[in-house]
Amino acid sequence: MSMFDQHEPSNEKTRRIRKNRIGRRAFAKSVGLGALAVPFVASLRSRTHAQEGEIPKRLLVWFTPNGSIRENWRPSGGERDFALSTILQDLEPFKDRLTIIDGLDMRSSRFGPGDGHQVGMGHMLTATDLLPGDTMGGCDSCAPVSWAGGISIDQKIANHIGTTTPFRSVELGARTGGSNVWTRMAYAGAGEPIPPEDDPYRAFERLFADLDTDPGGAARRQLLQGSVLDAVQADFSSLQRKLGREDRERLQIHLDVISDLESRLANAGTIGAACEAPMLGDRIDPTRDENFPMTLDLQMDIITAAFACDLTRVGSLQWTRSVGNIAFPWIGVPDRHHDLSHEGDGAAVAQGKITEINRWYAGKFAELCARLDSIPEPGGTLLDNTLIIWVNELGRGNSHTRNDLPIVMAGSAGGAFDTGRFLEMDRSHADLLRTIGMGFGLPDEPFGRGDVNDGAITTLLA
Amino acid sequence: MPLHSPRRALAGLAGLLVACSGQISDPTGDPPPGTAPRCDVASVPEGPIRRLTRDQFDRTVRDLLGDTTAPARAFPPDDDTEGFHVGGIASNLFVEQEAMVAETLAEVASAEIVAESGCDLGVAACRDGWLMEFAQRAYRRPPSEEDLDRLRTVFDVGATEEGVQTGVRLVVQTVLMSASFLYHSEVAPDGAEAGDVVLIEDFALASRLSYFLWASMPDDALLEAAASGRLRDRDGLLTEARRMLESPKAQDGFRSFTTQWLRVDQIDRIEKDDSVHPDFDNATARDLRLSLEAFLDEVWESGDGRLLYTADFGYVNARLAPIFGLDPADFGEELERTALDPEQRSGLLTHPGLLALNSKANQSDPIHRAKFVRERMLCQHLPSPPDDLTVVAPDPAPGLTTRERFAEHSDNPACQGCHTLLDPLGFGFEHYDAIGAWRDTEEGTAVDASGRMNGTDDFDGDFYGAVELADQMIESQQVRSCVAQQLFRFALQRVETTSDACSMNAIEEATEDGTLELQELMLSIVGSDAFRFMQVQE
Repeated sequence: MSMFDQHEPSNEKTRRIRKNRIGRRAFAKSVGLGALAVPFVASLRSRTHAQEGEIPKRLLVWFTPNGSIRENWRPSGGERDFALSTILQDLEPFKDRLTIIDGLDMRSSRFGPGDGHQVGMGHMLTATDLLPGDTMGGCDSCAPVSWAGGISIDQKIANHIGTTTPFRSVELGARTGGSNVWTRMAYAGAGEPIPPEDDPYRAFERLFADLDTDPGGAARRQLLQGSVLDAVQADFSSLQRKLGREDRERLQIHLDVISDLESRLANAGTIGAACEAPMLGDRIDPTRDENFPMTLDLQMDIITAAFACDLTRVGSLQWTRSVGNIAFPWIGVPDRHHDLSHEGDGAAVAQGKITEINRWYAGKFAELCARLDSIPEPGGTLLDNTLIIWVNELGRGNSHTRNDLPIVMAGSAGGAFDTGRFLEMDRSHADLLRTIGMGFGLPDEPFGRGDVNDGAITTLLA
Repeated sequence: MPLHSPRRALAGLAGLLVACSGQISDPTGDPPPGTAPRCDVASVPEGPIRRLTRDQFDRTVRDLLGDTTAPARAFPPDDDTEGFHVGGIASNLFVEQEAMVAETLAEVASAEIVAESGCDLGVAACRDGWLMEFAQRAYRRPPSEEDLDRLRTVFDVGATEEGVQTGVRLVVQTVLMSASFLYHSEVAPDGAEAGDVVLIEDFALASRLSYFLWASMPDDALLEAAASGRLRDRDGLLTEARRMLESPKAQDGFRSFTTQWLRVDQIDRIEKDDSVHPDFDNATARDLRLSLEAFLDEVWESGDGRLLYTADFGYVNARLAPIFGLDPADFGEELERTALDPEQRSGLLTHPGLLALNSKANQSDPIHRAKFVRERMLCQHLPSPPDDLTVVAPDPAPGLTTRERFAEHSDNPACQGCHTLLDPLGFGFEHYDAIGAWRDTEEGTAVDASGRMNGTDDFDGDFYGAVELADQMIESQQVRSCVAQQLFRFALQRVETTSDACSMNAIEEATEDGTLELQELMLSIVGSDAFRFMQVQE
């Protein structure tokens, strides 16, 4: 039985559910790979928010691994009259809405246990030291690690802006691998990694399953499922009473999600009318190399729809993982990414291939911008009301440096950021995370390790 | 803190650290020299409550509900500890996916349960009988009155609204979402204080036993043994374990272990460069996995773990025959047990599934083959490259052999430290190409598979080819102890610590006569303090 066959059971279920829903709706597949039909949503949403007098801001984290090639990534020219580089050239249509920053260093990652990739990944959005644990890593201290030691910025923002949506945040990915410090970037808190969903079909089911509930069915469902959730919660509480403190806390984390399910159940059917689910097409096996590009397209469709439907305001798209090692035959790179990234600066062919890989990712980033930009909202488009930030766990792969991180941001989160700029600055990346938080209404206070915070990068803010 | 080798004073590992970083770290967790651990008092570390892993979930719903769809594949991956799956802290994604799976499973199971109930579930006595029996199996312990009351309430809501089948459906869904089902709860006895080391309660111990030996829930006989108190006694526990090892389900346990230990499931996902290996497709990858599983099944049935390194047979079909150097015309679609050329194949080290897994898409990969041997078979850890190391590697040049291209690693002082542990070992596998097929030449040059093992406790030295390496490995105490160590990690879902020193010594003793009797090894783990005791949490 191949991997694909093994996915069949849930596959059939997905197809059944999808048919039910989509069969009853008029779906138009718009241009482009897996693009979605959303204008209808947008018009409804505009009205909703005009009434409320509030335009939601969204944050979207975009991750690619193994560092970049700085000389092929870095724009040339001045702050507002820059020219895009080889890697970033496909972002030209969105140039006025980009903020490109060269020179940021992940200073926090010079502290605490973990090897280059481990600290790069764990500090990337948390700026905190890794916790001790069972996972062996690098030579510096040779102390084994477990997870990042603090909340990630996306989750801190989600706690602030994500409490009124059905999902506080939505983490999606492709080929992100197993569960360890190399594969997780979003953290609800110290030692609490949040896994991304790698399968667009399961993500679809999770996010859009409730949209279809008809009001009559909803009441009965609430009664029946409510009784299940009550009994489940009572079982958890009863076991908690017999356990030690740490185990009680572990179960509490689980129990809190059950409570979320309960409140979502109580609100079921209230969003459905104003929202369209994306159309995924025939199921593909997202674990296979050849389906990687399609998986990106589908996940981008899903997060776009989730934003447009206001199912969530915070999301992340994680393409592979730290040390991600897939090949890119569709752009003529049969070699694997991490293997290539270990080739030296003198290896021109390898450097060219890494450049191509990053350029391909930039092209996908541009497609994401286009999707968001196609949805009108008050104040412009969904892209304008979003801040997308492209992060990487390393600056450069062969040296494992976390200096000179290749940071690209798009959108202004509803005008919070002053865009259309290429900035060079020798600052701590913790300051950027702090400043992003401020763009979403968090107070101006240090984020992560205190000793790597020099203050907000106020020039980024409008 | 992890203890890498309680008996070996970490000589090998410390060597690695020195080689890579140039600094000697204090080997963490090692008892000070000269202080022998006291083994007359049970000592175990405190451990957190564990969730069922995906694999355990799938086998449990198979045994509980007859479901064979492996629904837990939809869950996010389990935490990974040294390659072994651990049911860690529940994420939102897990809880939500699990809730969806529970709903689907309950829907399917409820019709069958009603059909097979043998009495009218609308009648209180019939309902209560089923609730009692179902909850006992699902919770792996007798349900409390409180448990039954809760389930009865749920049942009645469903039955009143829509009929008994809905009642059953809601109960099954509730149970599958409950902590009592999803967690391996090991509750401390009344009156125990934080830090006390106590025998694990009867039913929790029964679960430990069945998830180790069967990778699934206890059967009725095991629950009965727990109820009678027989498991409290070490001999009683071992008697029960012997019964379970004779069951066909023990094959599942060993499969689950080997899948995680050797990453067998990843073989399915192997993809190769079409321009170099045009015949290698998804079906080939799948058959390689099946071939390895069939081999491991036979090893299990024989009970002799030495075959892992010494076997000169394999499972071959027409698709795999060319990789094994055999004529496809002699084979059909079915995998057949076949004698292999003993000059070319010897157990796991030379299985093309593992060789192909630890290769690049278009060429062999000495580095990753050596890494696999060190981590999975020697229980060593390879440090990553030094931080901020600047490497200038040459372009691969056509006409050069793999060995020649990798010469850079040993010429460049920055790379040398780690790569002296990798390259000389990995070069020993050069007779096998990217798909694990035997080759005598590479780029027109005769293959040189001379290798060197270093950094071990007891078998440093030169060897030629993987077959000779396998011969040396099975005679190494470090290699046999490593199998024991890996089994320990699988059994307990954690890495061994200094508190486990006495347990580890007792377990490894089973292999000190040069044998690797799998059942004996498992029994030594079952009988260890680490398996039978727990430390009470604060």
